[in-house]
Amino acid sequence: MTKGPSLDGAELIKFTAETRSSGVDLPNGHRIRKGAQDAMRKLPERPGTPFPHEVDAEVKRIAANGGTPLVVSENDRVIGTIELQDIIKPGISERFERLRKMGVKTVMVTGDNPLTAKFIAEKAGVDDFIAEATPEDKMAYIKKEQQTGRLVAMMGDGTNDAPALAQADVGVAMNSGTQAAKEAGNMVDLDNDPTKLIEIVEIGKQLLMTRGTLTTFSIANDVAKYFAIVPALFMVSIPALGALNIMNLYSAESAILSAVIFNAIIIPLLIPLALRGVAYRPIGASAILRRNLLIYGLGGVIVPFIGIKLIDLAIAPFF
Amino acid sequence: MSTKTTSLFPRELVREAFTQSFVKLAPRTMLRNPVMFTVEIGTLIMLLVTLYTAFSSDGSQGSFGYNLTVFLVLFVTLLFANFAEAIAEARGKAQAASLRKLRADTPARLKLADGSLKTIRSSELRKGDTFFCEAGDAIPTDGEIVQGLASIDESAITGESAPVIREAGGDRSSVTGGTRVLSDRITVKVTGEPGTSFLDRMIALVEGASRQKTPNEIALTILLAGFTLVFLIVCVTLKPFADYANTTITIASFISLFVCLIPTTIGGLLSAIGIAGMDRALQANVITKSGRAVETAGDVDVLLLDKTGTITIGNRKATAFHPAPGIDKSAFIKTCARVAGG
Repeated sequence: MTKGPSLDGAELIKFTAETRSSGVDLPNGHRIRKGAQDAMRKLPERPGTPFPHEVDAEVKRIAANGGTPLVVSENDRVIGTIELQDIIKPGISERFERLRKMGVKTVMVTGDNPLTAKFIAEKAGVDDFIAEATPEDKMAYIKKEQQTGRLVAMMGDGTNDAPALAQADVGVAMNSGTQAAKEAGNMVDLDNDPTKLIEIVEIGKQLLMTRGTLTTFSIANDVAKYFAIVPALFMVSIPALGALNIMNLYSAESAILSAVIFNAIIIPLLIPLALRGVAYRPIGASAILRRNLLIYGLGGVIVPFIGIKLIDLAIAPFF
Repeated sequence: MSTKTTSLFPRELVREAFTQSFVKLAPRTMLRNPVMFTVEIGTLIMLLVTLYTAFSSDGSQGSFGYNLTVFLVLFVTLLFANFAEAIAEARGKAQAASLRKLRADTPARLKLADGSLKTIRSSELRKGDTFFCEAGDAIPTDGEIVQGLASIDESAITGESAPVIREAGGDRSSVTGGTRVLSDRITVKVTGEPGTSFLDRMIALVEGASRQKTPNEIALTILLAGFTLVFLIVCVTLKPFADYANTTITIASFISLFVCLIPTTIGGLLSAIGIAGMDRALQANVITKSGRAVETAGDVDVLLLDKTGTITIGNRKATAFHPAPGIDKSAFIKTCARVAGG
């Protein structure tokens, strides 16, 4: 335990991941500690005092109601429990719902006991939780998920978190965190905002979606360009191929030029979309795929037909 | 840092991107993008054909005006593709420039072995050096507090105006270059060589200097190069068919068909999309060490979230006190008050 002086000579005992309790040593020799039940249980039981079962019952009752029971002891004797209540952030469960639709599993990591953790997990709408989590637990969970081929993202700030940050596929360290944590992760959040992890996932998804949709669009464009150029090449020698000139383009040369011009101007027209990214809608992976195939796949087939025809109409007078 | 670019194309960025579009025509740069590189070769061939039609009376290749137009359109296609990448880079650079302002050469008070202080420039600080900062000083570079405690204004990089407490030991011992000490004094150990701090790395990344293609991008580039090869074969084999049909196909037509069929749209926009992704992360005040990390984030299946701060609001509130049997309630609450907040 780390010790630090306080004003009236009392010594503050800071919380450590090891003892999972904190408290104060008074100048008169009284040692007051508080912590989670399982951590505090060892204190009276070591000298032989049993853990009072009334307190035990109280702890269970508080935990079952979603509160956090904090057991307080004085000189290794349990003197009672403090009931702490968590306030769930407004709107967070909708956010988890959106993530679930995108196929992302959310896991709540907490030092709370399993009962409290379960209550909050259900109330907030996360898919799973790690209760009474130690850095090793976190690490084990990440490894377990990775073995089934999943990619794991996490956020952390302490030295404790550094191994897990390094193990995770995406490790976001807080800027206020230790240098070790910042070195271990592959991103740093300047705002120290834990919800940022959700935003980062959304930015990443948007990037992948943008690339996917523009690739689809680009390749779908080929259909129209093919119908513009190939009939134009053979129209003179094989008049039967004229039937393929479904856009009814003016001449062979105007058809080819229209296709090339369309091919050029579609690039700057799509720059804003490439920079901004396609609109991100949390409607589920398969729904997004269907939607994007419809817009950028079917759109990619139809748009160039219209575009090439219009360009052809515009340049026809020059031929 | 919190400056959000409202316009997609600010004028000064467009001007710079325009210049860059021409600079990027250098074959060595174009080679990174196989699709656009083949377009560049096609453009060069068209230039030769255009010159040929200008000085020759051979009419088999079509008129000079037609060939010149095809050449110009292809050239513009190249410029458009380069412009897409250049404007994305320029936007990243503009973001980086606002970060770099923090990097202004601030004086640093180096602590010598005998404990005395010597004022040097922050760029002269080396890893392992210790420097001293007190109220009013700007922190010259990233480091870890080895002694003392201070309240620090990090608003320059985070936009958050409330000062934060940083102290030696524990989880909150690191300080970032560009932030300002508001009270007290600290001794800080430098944790990185000059030019390797997070800001430096981020600046290099968004400027595109150290941007490497991500595995996904490489895979897509290979796929697009594959398409390009297939369409090249298609166009070349068209020649015997055309000969059989007694049709002459001009070089301009061949090259136009080829350029239209190969995926130039995505080929031209691919790197812009990647850079824009990193740029969006930066706008969210997240510094990424590689473009790959942003992409991986998009593929993530499992999110580990800390309960406190993410799911629940900050600290919990004590709502009730339950003393153990035989303990006086008011005495118990008094005892609890001694350990509150620790």
